[in-house]
Amino acid sequence: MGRNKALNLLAAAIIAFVLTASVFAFAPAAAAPEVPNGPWVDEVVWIKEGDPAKVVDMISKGDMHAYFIDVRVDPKLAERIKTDPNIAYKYAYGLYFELTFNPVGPEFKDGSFNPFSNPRIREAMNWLIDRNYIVNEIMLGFARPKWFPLVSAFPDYAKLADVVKILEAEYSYKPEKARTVIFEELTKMGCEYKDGKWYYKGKPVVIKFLIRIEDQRRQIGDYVADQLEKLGFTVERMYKSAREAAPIWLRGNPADGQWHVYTGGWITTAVSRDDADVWAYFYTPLGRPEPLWQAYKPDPIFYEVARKLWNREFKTIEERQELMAKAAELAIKDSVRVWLVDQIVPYLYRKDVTLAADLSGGFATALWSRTVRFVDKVGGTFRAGNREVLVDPWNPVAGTNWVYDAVLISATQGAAFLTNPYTGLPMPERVINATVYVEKGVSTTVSSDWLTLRFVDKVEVPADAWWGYDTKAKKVVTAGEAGVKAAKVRIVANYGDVIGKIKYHDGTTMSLADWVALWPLSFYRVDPDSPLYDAAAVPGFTEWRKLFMGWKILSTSPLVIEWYVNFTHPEAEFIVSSYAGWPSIPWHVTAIGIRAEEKGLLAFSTSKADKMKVEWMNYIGGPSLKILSDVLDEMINTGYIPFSEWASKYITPDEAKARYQALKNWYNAHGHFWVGDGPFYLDRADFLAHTATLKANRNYPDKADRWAWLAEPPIPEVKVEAPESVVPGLPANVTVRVSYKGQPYPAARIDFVKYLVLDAAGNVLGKGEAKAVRDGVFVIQLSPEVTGKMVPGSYRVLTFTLSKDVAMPVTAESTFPAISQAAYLTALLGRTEARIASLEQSVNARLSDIEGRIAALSSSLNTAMAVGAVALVLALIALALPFVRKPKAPPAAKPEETVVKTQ
Amino acid sequence: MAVKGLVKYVVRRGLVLYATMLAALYITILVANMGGKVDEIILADLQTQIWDTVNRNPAYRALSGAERERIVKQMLENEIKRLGLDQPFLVRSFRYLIDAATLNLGRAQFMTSDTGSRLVANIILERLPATVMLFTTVMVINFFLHLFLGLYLSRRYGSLLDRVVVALAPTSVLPGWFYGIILILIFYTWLHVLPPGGIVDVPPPKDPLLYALSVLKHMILPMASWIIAGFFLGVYGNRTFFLIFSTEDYVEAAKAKGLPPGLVERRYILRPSLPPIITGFALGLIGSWSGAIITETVFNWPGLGSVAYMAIQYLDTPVILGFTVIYAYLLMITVLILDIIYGLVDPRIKVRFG
Repeated sequence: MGRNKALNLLAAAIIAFVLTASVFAFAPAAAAPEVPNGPWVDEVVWIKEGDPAKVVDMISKGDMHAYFIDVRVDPKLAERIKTDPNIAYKYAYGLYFELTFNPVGPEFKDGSFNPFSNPRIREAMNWLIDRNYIVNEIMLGFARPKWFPLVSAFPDYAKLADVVKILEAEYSYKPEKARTVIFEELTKMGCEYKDGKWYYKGKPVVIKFLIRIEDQRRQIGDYVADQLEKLGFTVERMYKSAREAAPIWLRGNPADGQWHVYTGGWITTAVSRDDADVWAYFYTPLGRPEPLWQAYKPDPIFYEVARKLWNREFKTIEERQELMAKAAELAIKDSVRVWLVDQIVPYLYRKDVTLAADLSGGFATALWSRTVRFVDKVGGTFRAGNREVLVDPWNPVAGTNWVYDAVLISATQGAAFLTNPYTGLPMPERVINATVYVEKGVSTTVSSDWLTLRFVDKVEVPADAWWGYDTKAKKVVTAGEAGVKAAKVRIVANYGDVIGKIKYHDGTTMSLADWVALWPLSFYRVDPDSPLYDAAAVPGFTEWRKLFMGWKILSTSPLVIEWYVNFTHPEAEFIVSSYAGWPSIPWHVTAIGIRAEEKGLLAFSTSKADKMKVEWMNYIGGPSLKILSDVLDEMINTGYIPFSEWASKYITPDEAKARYQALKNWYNAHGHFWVGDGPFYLDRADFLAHTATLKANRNYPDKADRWAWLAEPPIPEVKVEAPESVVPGLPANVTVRVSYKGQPYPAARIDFVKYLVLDAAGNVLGKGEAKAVRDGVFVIQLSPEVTGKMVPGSYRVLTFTLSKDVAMPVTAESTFPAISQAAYLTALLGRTEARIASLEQSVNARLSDIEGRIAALSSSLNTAMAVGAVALVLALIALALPFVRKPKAPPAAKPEETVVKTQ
Repeated sequence: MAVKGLVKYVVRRGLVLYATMLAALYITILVANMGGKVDEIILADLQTQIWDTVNRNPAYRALSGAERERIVKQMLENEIKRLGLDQPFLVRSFRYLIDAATLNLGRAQFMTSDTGSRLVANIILERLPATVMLFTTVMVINFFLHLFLGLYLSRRYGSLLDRVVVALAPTSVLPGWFYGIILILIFYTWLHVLPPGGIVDVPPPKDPLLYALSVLKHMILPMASWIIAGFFLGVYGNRTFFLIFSTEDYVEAAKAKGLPPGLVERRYILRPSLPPIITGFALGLIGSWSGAIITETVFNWPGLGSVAYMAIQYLDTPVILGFTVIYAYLLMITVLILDIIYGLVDPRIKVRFG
């Protein structure tokens, strides 16, 4: 009983423990918040603030959670954002500085001298400038040295890394070399160096240096001017704003000699994956029509290479890469521009929030609205700051193009594709998958798993595909009627089951009409006889018309659409994203604008508004609202259907009225007409305070965590493990370990690990691509040919790793010594001797051990034998005893037990 | 007879002022366009912008250089037509003048109002309430504060308070926005009790009363900065002004007659000094409607000063002219009214109406 009681108590204790443990184990799971549809947060309010110091203060105090435009960093601000415990920042790239040289000469029209007409002197400027000084002292670390027009965080730079890194080393800071070359060339050009100054035809060589004053280019200009003065030039520093400088360098005739050098600055607003045209744009007359560009006289080979890349005249990706490599080499020889730094601009946010940042656009892309959240909670009000809020009119056809407006608009609209913030590649949001059929011979590739690329002999356009719309006959023109039979590309996109499922903000549901009803609009906008005609729409339409061959809806459930086009792109993802759209604004919302423009009351584009002397249509405020409201009332009464001869096939008058009524209700509730299908809707816009409130759309089809994987760029962490030494003529292996947050990087997600083997002088002995052994491990096999070029000394292996998920290449290196064969043999002999000695020691030790064990065993055996002998004697005695003695009486007790132990 | 004379005087004076204003406006048109030079700048800016737009547009990325150039040309032509730059500057200058003379402010070339309107009238009028609310209020407060404290101190010449005001008068050399930054540092950065800028809380309260209170809260720091900046010099100036008047012979005579000090102040000091005070008030009032660029920037206040600044930055001639036209009219009307008021309030000024 007692034992049972104890067992019961034990069981009870175990059960209690298990239950308690279960409670603790499952408590966090029970408390885990449900992932909502739409965004994580409940609302986002927008604050206009232009002062970076105030922005930093507001973020620190929690009055602002993130700032959606980059801030220019001064020393105080840099210190503050690096030390404030509440502030975090993400980097973006795409702003870059350079020196633009006037290439005319050697004499200008007025007889003055231009040393920069000499390409050798321009080339030498690369050696004269210490880019690291600019990065560290002027840009306070918020920059990277730059030698080429390719942005170092974008894919084309990464793909050329093995070429450009060599050139960068060759053109790094070498002031003495610069001095030698410049002195040599100036002398050849007839200049004289007297008392530390250069003279041309008896007059000092004056450099007219246009220095921009709005940003760090002022200090950069001063630094470069100082270097030129040290060489003996007389520098006239002309400090100018953009507007003051532009008439001189951009629009003035460079032959007039008003300037020699200008501190240029450029911007790329999105991660660019195809920079084939940069060489022609920056170095040849093809780039722009301004006089400066027309004065460029590049080397004929360089011009031809740049021209081919400008016009995309290459058949394969390999050919393109060869051209790019050649262009990089020739561009730095030409150096009409000497590139200085790629800026790294910080985007500020509070540490208690998180949101994805694009490598180029920072927070100002559509993804902010899909990823923004508080770290420790679901819901809440997010306070977003921007330099401007609500700038120009919003309308669905030709409204604002300000980035400040776009960042809000993108949150209110779903999209067929979003742009991957770290690679620049399209990522499908509403498209599920797609197939692209490309005519053989078109150079394109694919790297996304949602897209299938097929090369075919011929792409035939079906006769019933919609090619256009005849605004006179008011009917669709089919490809057959237009005589279109073939195209270069066929795109088939699958959107899934969206018709009748997707909800717009005003409660209406997506129908086929949202896809096709307004198809004629583009054609009316370019028809001079139409009240919707807009001259500003013509250039874009003309180009579109040339490439678009037709489209066809293959099925509605799931929605599958195909397009036939002549547009090609080196990456097939862009072919799809250029055509496969998404009706993020329902047809009835656009229809009120169409009706207002038809009636001559408002105009979609600013250009037409000015021409008609009416207001530029604004769906969210101003005088447009009253007009649109009146038009909507009229449409409700009349049951207006836009382009009714066509759209009536898809919209009934009752459906139209129901949609208009929904819009009316929306207007009454929110005071504007902006209706979309994005993760947020525009709740209120206050134009006096320049603030807007976006609220969560819980009807959004995606869960808030859909894009959570984009919260941070998975930049590979690379470690190069070089061998202890390499022997010339013998193969050697270098291990490259690639990881992310301590975990091996999946080999399938690595685009490449390229390498260079360099000697101490920077000469390249070998290059190639490392092979993946397993996830996170790559091996560089140095062949005997490569190691055979080595002599005893120090070498380094430089690697460039590019992930398919981040456009930014990662550079890592390791050094190793090469030793002579004799030294190797001596070392090998030494090592062998040492090994033999070690083995000998080991054997001796083992022998001793064995001897010891044998001795121990012998001793045990002897003992056992002794015990055995004693036992035997005892046994014999025991056997003999009965015969020697008689028993005295019957046994009263148990006979004694005799235990015999044997060993 | 006197009324007929008054009307005749007003009409004649009005016509002279109107002609002066038109001349001033035409000069403004010429200056704002640099005699047509601005056209060149705008054209060049446009060409650069359009090139950049086309080069950055992924839709045009696959086009050849020649194709891109053709698009740029077409877009540029559209813009030239939109801006009316296809007409000679002289023709446009007279069109601007006729519009200005008829108070037709026209359309902006580049700017839009806060609510997205292209009409210059809307661009200006939408910002006027916020400007009046802040700067006119400050101006009126300052005016009466300086007036009455100046009068008060003029009676206590040499007192401790008087000496303090005189000693601190140089502090008014610092502009209002400077004090604004100090106040933001104290009341936002340090104490975190008042907003650092803006006109209303974000998100704006839906209740109108709460909205108004929120606006008042946001007015505290900018108003305080301007009141502090102008206080000592304003009081000192008025005190000196009244001191000069209070030593006039006729004031001494009035005092000698034994008139009460209040009566002496009102009738013998304040009344004869009213014309310059009224002039100052009227011109101050007009001036307050132009806003203050830096203060607006520091406090992120949506006033007219920043709109004027942007118009100059954009070289948006119609907006620049719009401002000039409005202020020219306001000034003309004010001067005309002042001319009449002077005759009424100052017995020393005699106008022969007949």
